[in-house]
Amino acid sequence: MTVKLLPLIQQQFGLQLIETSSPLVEPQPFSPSSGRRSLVEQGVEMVFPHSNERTRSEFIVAQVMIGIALAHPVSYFSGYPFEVDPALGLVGQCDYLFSRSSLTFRIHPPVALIVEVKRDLGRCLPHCLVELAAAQRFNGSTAPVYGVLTTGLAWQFLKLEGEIATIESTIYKVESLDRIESILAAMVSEP
Amino acid sequence: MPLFLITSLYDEGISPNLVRVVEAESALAVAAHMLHHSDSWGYFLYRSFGQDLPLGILTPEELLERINRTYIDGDSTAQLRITPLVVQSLEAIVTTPLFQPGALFSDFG
Repeated sequence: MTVKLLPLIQQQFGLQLIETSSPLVEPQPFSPSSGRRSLVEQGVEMVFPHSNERTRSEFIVAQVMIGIALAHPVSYFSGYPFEVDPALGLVGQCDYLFSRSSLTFRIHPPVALIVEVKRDLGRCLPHCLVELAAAQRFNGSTAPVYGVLTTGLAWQFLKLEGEIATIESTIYKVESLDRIESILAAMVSEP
Repeated sequence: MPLFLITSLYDEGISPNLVRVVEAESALAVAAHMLHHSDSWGYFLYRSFGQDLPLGILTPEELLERINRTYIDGDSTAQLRITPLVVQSLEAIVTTPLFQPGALFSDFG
């Protein structure tokens, strides 16, 4: 079904989708507090391949995102309404969203990073791509907007810049948490 | 002919893309149609079952049973339901929930 959805989205937004083995950003040094790291590690022990989405989100993804949010001058939104263009149906709730704006009472541009959590990594891409296209429109800029596809246990990264959506082919296992967090830190920091 | 509301819901709620109203003899007839026209119903089935539905093996009864066991898991799996519709006059509307087949805990809270 993803095969059917992607062309639909690409056509709607005029996007070209390319895959690369190169990192999308230069990873940035990132050191969460020992308490935060411990929470993530304990969360990983409580998530299994059959775990539902909420368990994955609460025990792993949210803990990682809070760590990133606390360490950067960003606004962090979890499950917040994101209304971009109701006439086009560009409305919904992103699982996690980071804006570089300091305003927190609602989502303000520029949106930097959107995270899509699903039990099946292969089903994240169309959903996240629509969210990134909406964010680009919301930002009123062709500057990069980053996407994260994750099951909690596996992580993959995406970038939309102008009309080019680039997905990094590498799938990072949660055991590479240092690397994952360094990439996330770079994505929310990059102007 | 009775009316049925077919819904495929994530936690974000309803959109026009996720509901259909059909005329059918029964919920079982809708399930049978899903089996015989799986391309037409493909996206709804995919959102609830992924690629795991053994369409060539299932009977309509078995599919309906599986449909009634689907539940919303965030936006990973959708709750699929075939709900009989009763058209009422505005004067007859009552929205107090009832304990009935298909009801949920959250209907009462």
